[in-house]
Amino acid sequence: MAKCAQTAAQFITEAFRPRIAVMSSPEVEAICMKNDLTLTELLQPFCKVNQDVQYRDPLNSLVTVRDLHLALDDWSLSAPPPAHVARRQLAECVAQSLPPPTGDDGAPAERPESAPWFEAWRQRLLQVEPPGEHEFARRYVACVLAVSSAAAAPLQQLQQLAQHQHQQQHGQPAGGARWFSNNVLIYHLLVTDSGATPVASAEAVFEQVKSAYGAHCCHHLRLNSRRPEHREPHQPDPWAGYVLRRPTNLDGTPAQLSGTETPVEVAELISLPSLVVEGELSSPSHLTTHPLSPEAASGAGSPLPVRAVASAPALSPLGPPAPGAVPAAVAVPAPGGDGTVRDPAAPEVLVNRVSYPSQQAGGVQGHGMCLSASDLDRITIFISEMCIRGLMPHVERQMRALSDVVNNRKGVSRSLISATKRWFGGNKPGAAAANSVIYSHEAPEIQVRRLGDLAFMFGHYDLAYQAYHTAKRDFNADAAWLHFAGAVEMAALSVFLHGAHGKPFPQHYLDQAVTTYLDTCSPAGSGGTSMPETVCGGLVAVRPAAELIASADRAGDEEREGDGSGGRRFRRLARRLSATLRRSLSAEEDPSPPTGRMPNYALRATLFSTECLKDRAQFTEAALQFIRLTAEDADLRSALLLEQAAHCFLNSQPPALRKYAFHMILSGHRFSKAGQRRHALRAYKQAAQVYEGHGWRLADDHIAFTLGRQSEALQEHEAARTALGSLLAGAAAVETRQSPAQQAAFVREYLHVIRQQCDSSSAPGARPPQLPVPHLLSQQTRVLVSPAQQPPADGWTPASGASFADEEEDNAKWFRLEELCLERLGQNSVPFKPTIQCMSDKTNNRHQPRVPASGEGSSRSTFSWCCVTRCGSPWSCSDLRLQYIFSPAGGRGPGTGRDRRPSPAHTLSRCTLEENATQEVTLSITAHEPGDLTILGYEFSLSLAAAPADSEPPPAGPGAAKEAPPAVRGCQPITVRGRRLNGTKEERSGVFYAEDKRLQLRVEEASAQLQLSFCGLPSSLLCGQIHPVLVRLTNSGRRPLLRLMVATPDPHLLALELSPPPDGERWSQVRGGPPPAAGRLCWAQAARLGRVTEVPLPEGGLVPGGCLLRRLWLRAPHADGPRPLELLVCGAAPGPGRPRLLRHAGRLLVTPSAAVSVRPSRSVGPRQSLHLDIQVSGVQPSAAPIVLERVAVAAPGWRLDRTAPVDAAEVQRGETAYLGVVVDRVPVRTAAGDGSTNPTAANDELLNIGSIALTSDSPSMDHKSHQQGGDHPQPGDSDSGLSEWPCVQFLLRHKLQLPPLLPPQSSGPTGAAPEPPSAEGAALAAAVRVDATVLLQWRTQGVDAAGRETTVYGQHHVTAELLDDSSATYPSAAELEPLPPVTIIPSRPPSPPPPHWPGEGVMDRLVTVVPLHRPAVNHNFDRKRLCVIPVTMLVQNHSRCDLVVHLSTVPVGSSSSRRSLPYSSHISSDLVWVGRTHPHVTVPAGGSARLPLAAAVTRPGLYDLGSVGVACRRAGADATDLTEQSAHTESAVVVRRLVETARAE
Amino acid sequence: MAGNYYFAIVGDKDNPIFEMEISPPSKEAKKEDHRHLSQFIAHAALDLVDEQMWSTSAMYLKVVDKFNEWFVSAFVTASRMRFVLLHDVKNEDGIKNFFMEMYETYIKHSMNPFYENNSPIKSSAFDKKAQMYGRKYLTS
Repeated sequence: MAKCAQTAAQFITEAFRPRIAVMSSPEVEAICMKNDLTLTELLQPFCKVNQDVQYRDPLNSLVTVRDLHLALDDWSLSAPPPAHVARRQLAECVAQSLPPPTGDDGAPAERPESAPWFEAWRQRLLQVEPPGEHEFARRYVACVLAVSSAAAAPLQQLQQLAQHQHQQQHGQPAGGARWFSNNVLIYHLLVTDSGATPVASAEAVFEQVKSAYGAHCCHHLRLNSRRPEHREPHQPDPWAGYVLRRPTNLDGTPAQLSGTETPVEVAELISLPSLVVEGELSSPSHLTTHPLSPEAASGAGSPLPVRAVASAPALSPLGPPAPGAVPAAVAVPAPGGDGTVRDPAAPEVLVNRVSYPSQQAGGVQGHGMCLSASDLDRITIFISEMCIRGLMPHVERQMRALSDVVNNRKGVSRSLISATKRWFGGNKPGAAAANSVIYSHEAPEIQVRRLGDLAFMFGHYDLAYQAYHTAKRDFNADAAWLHFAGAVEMAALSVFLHGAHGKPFPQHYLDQAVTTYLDTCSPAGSGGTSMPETVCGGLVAVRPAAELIASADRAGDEEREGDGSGGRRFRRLARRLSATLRRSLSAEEDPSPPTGRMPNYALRATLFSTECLKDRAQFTEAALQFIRLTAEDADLRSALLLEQAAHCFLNSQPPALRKYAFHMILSGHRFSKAGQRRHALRAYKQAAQVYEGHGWRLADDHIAFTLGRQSEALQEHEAARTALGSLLAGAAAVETRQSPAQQAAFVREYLHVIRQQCDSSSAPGARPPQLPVPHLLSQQTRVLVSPAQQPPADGWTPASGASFADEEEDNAKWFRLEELCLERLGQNSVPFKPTIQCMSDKTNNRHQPRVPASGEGSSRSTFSWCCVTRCGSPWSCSDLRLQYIFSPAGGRGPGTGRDRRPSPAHTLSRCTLEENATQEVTLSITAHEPGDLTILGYEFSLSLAAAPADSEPPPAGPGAAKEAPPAVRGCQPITVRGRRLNGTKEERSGVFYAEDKRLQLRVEEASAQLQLSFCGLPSSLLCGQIHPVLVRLTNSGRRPLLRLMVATPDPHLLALELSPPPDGERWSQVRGGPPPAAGRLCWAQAARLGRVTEVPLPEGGLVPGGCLLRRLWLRAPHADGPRPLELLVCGAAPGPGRPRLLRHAGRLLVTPSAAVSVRPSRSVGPRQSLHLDIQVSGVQPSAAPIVLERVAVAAPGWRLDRTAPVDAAEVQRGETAYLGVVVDRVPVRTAAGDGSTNPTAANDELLNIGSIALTSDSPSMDHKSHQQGGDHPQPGDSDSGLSEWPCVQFLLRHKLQLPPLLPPQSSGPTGAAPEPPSAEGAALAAAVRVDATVLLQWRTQGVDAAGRETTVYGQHHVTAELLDDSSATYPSAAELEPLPPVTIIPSRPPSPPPPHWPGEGVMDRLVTVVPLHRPAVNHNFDRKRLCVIPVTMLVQNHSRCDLVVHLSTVPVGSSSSRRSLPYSSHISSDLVWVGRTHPHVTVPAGGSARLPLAAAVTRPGLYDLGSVGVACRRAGADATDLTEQSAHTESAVVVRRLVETARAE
Repeated sequence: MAGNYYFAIVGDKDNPIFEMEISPPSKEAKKEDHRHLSQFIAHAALDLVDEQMWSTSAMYLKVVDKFNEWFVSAFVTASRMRFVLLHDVKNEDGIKNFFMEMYETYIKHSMNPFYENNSPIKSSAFDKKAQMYGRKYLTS
């Protein structure tokens, strides 16, 4: 609660103390100056009369005045200072009254406790204000004439002083306003220096004085009775609060610091309105209807602001320098002729004293050093004597005299004008105010007022009220509005001071007074003696100037008579003067005059009124009154009043906290405009407490910006940095709504502050300050531990390694590969802990990343984090550097990294952060020595990016950045935390984060180091193309590598040849390598393949510096499109450390080449054989044909019939070629070697690879032939046309079925085929299983990486699995099934029972029947009417199960659709089977049986012998469980009539 | 009745959850450096809103405060969300309609289960609606 030190009553009575002028002779001043005081100052602390004083009022009742407080004024100082000096004094007294320090952190007090600056200002305001013409309470009621007894002629001096007083009072009209009445009390004081003047002579002089003037108005005061040796300052110093501060302030610092000298345009960017108009809502029309209000004028864009009329005598010290002050200023230099205007505000004009002894002595000396305690008692006695014996009787007489005048006045009619006005005129203030009455000094109305003032001053408030009330009515009747307002104001104050037993407080009186002062009064009516000019202020200003010029001219003319040149000089001077004056007037340098007509009186009345209101707890009304008196031009006054209004809002019930904050902001704004920086800062700080944290962003920004600027101006860099930093950091910046220009201004200001702070602190070794910009996303810091990238050299491409560009979700894949490698190495730990190469906020960072120390820059850690600029302008960061702590493993003390040799930080010279962008910054560090490395943050030089043309780096030194964009060295810490924990109940209910050690690196001993590079790595391949890549594995570490694993998630894509490539050979040749060891392969060989391949190393492992060269075969998949090419190399080094890992992630673009599909079908014949229809379509994008080189079939149980003719083929783009090959069922050699056709499960997997060369001119064939010598000279002869590398490898890999890498299910590298439901069912299903893999080798012309045209080779493999079922490499688009309709609630998927038996499609294709017969029969029907044709039915069992086959020569049903042969329409139907018509026979698994049958025909014709029904059942099954077979073999026989020519002949 | 308007929805912790400036389309945008003043005025007016909301049963409080050329109209919802509108022209009916429409829009928005009460409204649909009602009732 902002409480004033004085209560309202105290304040009012203090303001209207009886005032006494003091006139002293120089000797008296000399005596007092021994105490470093003037006489007035000496007396002032004792002006309070401690005893009650009494006097009798006109009604002869005794009035007791308690605590009468007199005001003694030095006459020489009592003249009201000029306006500008008064303003300066006001500003200084505010600036010097600062709030108590609020602590180091700068946190403002919670609530304003007091406002001493306001009280000081208020006090000073009352002092500097001249007493008005209409009031007498502030005039001198008495005058003390002081002479020294040591003077030569004290009585003459007293006479001189009395004459001077008389002259002052009556001589000049201006001085007369300062005396209460014509006959004031003259009190004579004889001052004696006890140390210098003998008492006796002093007493003699005093006797003379007494006899001359009477004892009641004389006093003898003895001073300086203290001995010099006892002189010491008084404790406490009674004069401390009274002595005016010496104008030449010795310390001088507060005035400078508070910045009162120059009002600064603080907020040119963010400004608040100067005008504050608030009030009750009942009169909002006030805003727009009042034509003279300044906002109406300014709102209408009027170039001329409305000027209040102000005349020189009533010059307001509150307002701006009124025009009347100008002549006073310019009058000084005129005689000097130098033309320069001396500063009129120089403080010397304040005091016209000769000297200050203490200041001459140079030391600070206490006041009253020569005064003993008895001296002080004498002073007190003097004051009370003067009161009781001099003043009170005088007051009694005066009061009685005035009362007589007032009483006699009754009944005396006023002038005719006022009488008529009373009857006819309006009695409202606000009517025409121009023709107000001018009273003489002794007018009865004035006397009434004088009586009121006298009674008021001496505490007779009842009488005062009556007098004021009378005066009010008179003045109202006379429309003397200034007088009226004064009387009303005083009447209200009288009631207030009279206390509770009086009438209710007339607040409306005070309001009326203020309104009248503001709106109605004109200065012209302010007093009867004022000048009659009612012109505008400008003219008032011009007139004295013009007079001055005229007088100068006259002076010049006079002088010309003596000296012509002097006159010209004078005239020039005068012209210059007038030009200056006019310019100053026309340029409107002075702000416009105050709002109201009599703003000073209105202000004073408001101060009283608000005090009364506050005393009666009407805070809101008080606030509104304060606000009403703010003006656009008076910054200091407005600031103070707004602050008081804010405090009133705060004190109101309920507290209007938000109003308080707003008005504090407005007040702070005005303070800053008035140059009161500390007060502005304080106001803003107090308001910020209300605003902060509520999300009023723009308001917050304004406050923070202002706080920053004011703090900076006050050299409080830390506070400025905090305030401005809050503008840029964190959430404030994220959701900023400021314009880019505004943000750039914030940033510039911030950088400026930082630079100032750096300059001021200027410690060279200091850590750079922590900057809030750019916004750092610490949590997104990623740490990459990887070997340094080796540059690509002479065709060798290094492995990509891990990088920040890796997808996070790929990590699981790499981890799984690592786990597979470790399994093979036997180093797997349970649970598996992967090596995280790139740690981010998504990885598990509970363990420290481990980095092997290394010599030649091979292993390093790279850090990457994100910087976000939320600023409208780009930043420029330069000289980025990591901050870290490195402690070596040897146990030496930790040292900061800056001077540590082993870990030089890599710096980034420059990076530009675009506006409103997120950018990643990458720095790296290399550790050369084992130890612990902790990353703390990074430091950088930050500046606003300049124009793009500026490419030179900003200067590094902080001082040299004047013209370049200011660069500021700063740092930002990087703090990371782990993911939020959610394991236990406590963790779930609270917020816990896991430990994150990604920034704490453990540097280990140097170890083996892998390097991998490729030669000839393609970027794109054709589908199925086979491409060799040379791989070089190097150990660049310091230890040997013992084992080496290569893992890939995609073993179908690449295969590493384990043996070194043949030296000197064309390693890039596709068809290379030795032939397969055995002609027959087994699919089980594929089982040994997997994702992980161990590379055999030479004895002793791969020594440091050793190098391994291998061929890596790539075979592009059948599907086109991009395909990742990923490889993980894992090398195990001796020792306990984890194996070294190196990954390569590349990308292949696969373009289409050929699409192959295979459809197997049974061939009809005695042998069990299959037709494989191979369809090859050219879909390659280039025009080069695909030349089919070789077709091979690898199938268990089948052998390629190489004798069958196959056409050579070339497939152009868009063409399709068909190849037909035949495979025969292989009689399986069992262990007994009986050669029976019974296949056994043991041989299931045995592959018979047969191939047929389709061309004979391929260069690869030549090469192969050459390589293999003459063993297999003819192409197509043997299996050896296929080499193991790479062709068979990929064939095997084609059959490789791996479990998906993710999610890891089983650890087996090969997947076992799903077990059939039952062995018998599988045996049956084998009838339709083909499982033949067709391998098609081709070549075409392509372009290699260098752009040369080369022959590229490739192979496709297709596995035909089921009979009559087409398999293709290239799934056609037609097979895309439409998606099932979306169901919201998923229906439960029907769980089919496990199929015990194969389906219909299998069971009806178990058996085929081939009729064996002669194709044509000649029969002599003439001889024998019946022709019997013997037919042997060859029943073939395709299953691996013994079957009982039932034949039925009568077709079982007509439902079985028969294929229509071309001749089917000619088939005769009357074929009759004879003999056994329904035979059945048991056919062993995979075997065949023959059934002899016979058919009979009666006529020649064409007959179908295959139309028999075939059904079968398993050997042990029920006889009724027959399955009719769908395959029917049509076999036509021609029966011809044989004509017996012999008989015919 | 083309005037300038500033509309804010203030939550019960005196936090603005929605802010919008509505200017007539013909005029160019108001000067930047007065935008924070709108916030100051609106925030200061909350004292009077809180005071006057108990004096009437109506949600629409009419003009509760004024500062210089700005009038402050207010509307208090049942959940004590305060709608504050700064305007420099008198437009009582339009403001009332605007408040009612915005009230309905706000209610609909607050029923969104993904909207946390008293948090800033960042819905572009809400924004569009507010603009539309502003054009319809205030600036047109």
